[in-house]
Amino acid sequence: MIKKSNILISACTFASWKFTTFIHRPILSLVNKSLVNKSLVNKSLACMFLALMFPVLASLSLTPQALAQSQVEFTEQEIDAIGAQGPWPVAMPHDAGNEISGLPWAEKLGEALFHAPSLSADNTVSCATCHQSDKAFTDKKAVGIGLEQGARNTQGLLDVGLQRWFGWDGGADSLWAASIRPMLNKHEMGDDLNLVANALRDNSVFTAAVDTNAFTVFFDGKSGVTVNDLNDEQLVVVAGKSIATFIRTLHSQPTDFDRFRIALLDNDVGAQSDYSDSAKRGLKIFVGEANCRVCHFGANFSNGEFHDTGRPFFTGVGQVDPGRYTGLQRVEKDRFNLLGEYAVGSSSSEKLKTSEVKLGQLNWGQWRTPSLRNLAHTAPYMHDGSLATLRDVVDAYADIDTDRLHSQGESILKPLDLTDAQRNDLVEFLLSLTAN
Amino acid sequence: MFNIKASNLNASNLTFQSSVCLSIILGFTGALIAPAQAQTDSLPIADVHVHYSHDSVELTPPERVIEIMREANLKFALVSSSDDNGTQLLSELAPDLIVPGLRPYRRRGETGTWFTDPEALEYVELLLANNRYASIGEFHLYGSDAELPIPKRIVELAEEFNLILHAHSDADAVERLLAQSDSVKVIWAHSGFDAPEEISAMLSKHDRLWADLAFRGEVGSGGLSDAWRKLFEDHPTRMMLGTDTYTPERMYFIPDHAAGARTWLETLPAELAENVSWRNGYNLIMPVWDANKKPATTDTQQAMEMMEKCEVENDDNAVLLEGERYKVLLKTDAALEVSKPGKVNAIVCGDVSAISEFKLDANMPAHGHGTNYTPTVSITNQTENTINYTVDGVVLHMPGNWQWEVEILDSAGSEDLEQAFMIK
Repeated sequence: MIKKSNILISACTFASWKFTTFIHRPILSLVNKSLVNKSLVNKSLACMFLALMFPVLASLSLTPQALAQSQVEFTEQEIDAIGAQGPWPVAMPHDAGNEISGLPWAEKLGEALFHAPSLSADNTVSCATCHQSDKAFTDKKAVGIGLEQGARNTQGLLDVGLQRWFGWDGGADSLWAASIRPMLNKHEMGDDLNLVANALRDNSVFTAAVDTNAFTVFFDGKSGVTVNDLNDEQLVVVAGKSIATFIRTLHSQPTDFDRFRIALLDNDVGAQSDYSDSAKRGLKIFVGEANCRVCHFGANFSNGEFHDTGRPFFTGVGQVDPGRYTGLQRVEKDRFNLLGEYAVGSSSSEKLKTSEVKLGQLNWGQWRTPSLRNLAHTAPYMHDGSLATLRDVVDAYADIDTDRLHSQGESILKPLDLTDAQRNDLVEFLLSLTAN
Repeated sequence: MFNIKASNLNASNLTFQSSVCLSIILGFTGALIAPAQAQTDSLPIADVHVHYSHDSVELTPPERVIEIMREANLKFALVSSSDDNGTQLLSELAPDLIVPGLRPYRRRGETGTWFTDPEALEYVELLLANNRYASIGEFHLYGSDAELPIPKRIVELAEEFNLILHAHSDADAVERLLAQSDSVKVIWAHSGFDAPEEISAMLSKHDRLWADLAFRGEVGSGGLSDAWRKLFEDHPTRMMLGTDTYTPERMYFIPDHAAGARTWLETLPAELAENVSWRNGYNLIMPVWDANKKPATTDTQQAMEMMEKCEVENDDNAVLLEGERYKVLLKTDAALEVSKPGKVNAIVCGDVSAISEFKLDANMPAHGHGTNYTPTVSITNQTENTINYTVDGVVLHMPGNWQWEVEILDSAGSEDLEQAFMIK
């Protein structure tokens, strides 16, 4: 059902009432809030208000923006769905098990380590090699290249702290565990724990930070612990937690979509007109026919879980990368997981996801639902960077090969009969999820 | 319970020695009474739900597939593929490991159309004429669609060729399939994705029904639930395992699937674990496959005897090819010329009543290619032991050494004959 408020506003616009921006937005907002309310009394009052105010309003002026009436209207159901995709920004949750998360010294140290190639086996690769700040912390490559070429696309780090699991396969259950992983991965930075630990001992910024902050975590609150008291593994954990503390501060800004969402919820027609009709049409498809929001749900446009979307996952002849299946196995074995000794202060509810998650057949070939924010800066797309453009992504879903999906698998995925224009609209909407 | 008894007896002033003996006896008795738990680390698995379809063949060589299966310690795999080529490739490579099933799909994507597609039926009949199988399936069929002419014919073919049906179906369709025959057996793919209680009810109701657990990740996930355990205990000879390699990547899941199954199988009594892991599949499928895979000895002997009686007149313008079951005389009215369409007359002698198809082609072995055209084959005459074929449109487009290649398809399989010749 088209909202009655929109119909009324359309009528007002047609009559060429002229408001000033200063006057008409608050008034219309008041009226529309009443109309949004399902109370008949309120609706009646609102109509009476409009009728009484007609002579006054008619003498005022509308802005050109409000005069440009959008051809795209949303149903109540669609508005509810759009409302659920915000608000933005959201508060960044605590990094479970990371007792130094949020501490300024740890953020500063983490930033320094993030850019330190000395933590790699040949002193050439740092976190920033793949996660480049001028590219939304990606590298624009199909798959990441550290010491060796990997098999997966480098994910951007903006807003990464909002995730429940980390990495395409969810192979880490905390941001700090995910930050340790590249340091101990032979394809990324090397797999020599002792080498990393020695590099940390030689890193003056690191040693000064740890010594200065009387790091007590591994010694039951004992003060005065210095870097020399920590063994290799403990040092790497401190480094990982520091890097995670820095990464957690990486936020993206509100987008055109976020502003439109507020305007839509407030029924601020003038502000709504700042959002292109193409993006609005794309948004309608996103929350409606295509039902993308089922997985790309919430303010961060991700439900945080894992799905088989029918994408191939061969990595070479006779080799596959089965995604979540191996990710879960890795979490279970990870000595840095939330159930391990290095997870400090994590609550039982935070540990629950790790202790209760179950490995199953369905995990074979599943990938974590990525956030859709910042997409304009994070091409190419998908777990293996196999799709170069957003249009390719839209086409891949619209023309999905159902033969790759089991009849008892992800049943919401089905081919969409979308026109070329509709696909472009979806792309336009997706682009509006990137901050200018 | 045994400890309590022992304790009571000790309290009755039995000597320590006596109580030790008693404990040993009771312990031993306990071992007899309580079934031994399965030692499943090396438990073989009969994987009755494997596909090696066209896209999978392109991405994983058959040798690698066999390697994966052996790595998973499969006792055997029931393989059915869209198209059948993948099944045949594996079967040729590892006849000890592969049991071929006939899938009525030429490509992926025919799951919802095959049962109304006459060409799918033709495809099945052609393959049955040429190859050996243990089953027809896995096919997708629901509800009253099982009563359509093509599925009915599939049931008839299953009876005729001694084949098990492998049905991805709801309970309704399974019952309709079973009702169409007094003898056909059905493997219920994925156990119909039904709950253990419903599967149990179906197995109790139909003694010609078995069920596989392919793509049933919930079985054993987080431990085997009481409901599944009861199903296995109530029907110890009817449940089987399967991976379902429905995408090319999933072929690589076979070892993980087997390992995952072993983790919950080990919570079952040893004999039951073995039943589910391989014995049920083996006992159902192997007798059928053993019977079907052997050439039709009687037919072959009859064919050979009839061929012995063949008196084919040879002359300078003819070429005689002699096989195990047939003699073939190839003769031309006029000498064949390079690049000019010609006609070849072929007289086939033997038990010609068994012949379903005759093919003639020519190949240049040194060049690695054959002709560029498919000639037309027609029957011009037939007697009790001969068929005269005319093969029109034979174009030998290069001078040099050629080789006639004859393929005769019959109820015993096929007979391939070759004969070199030269054209200048």
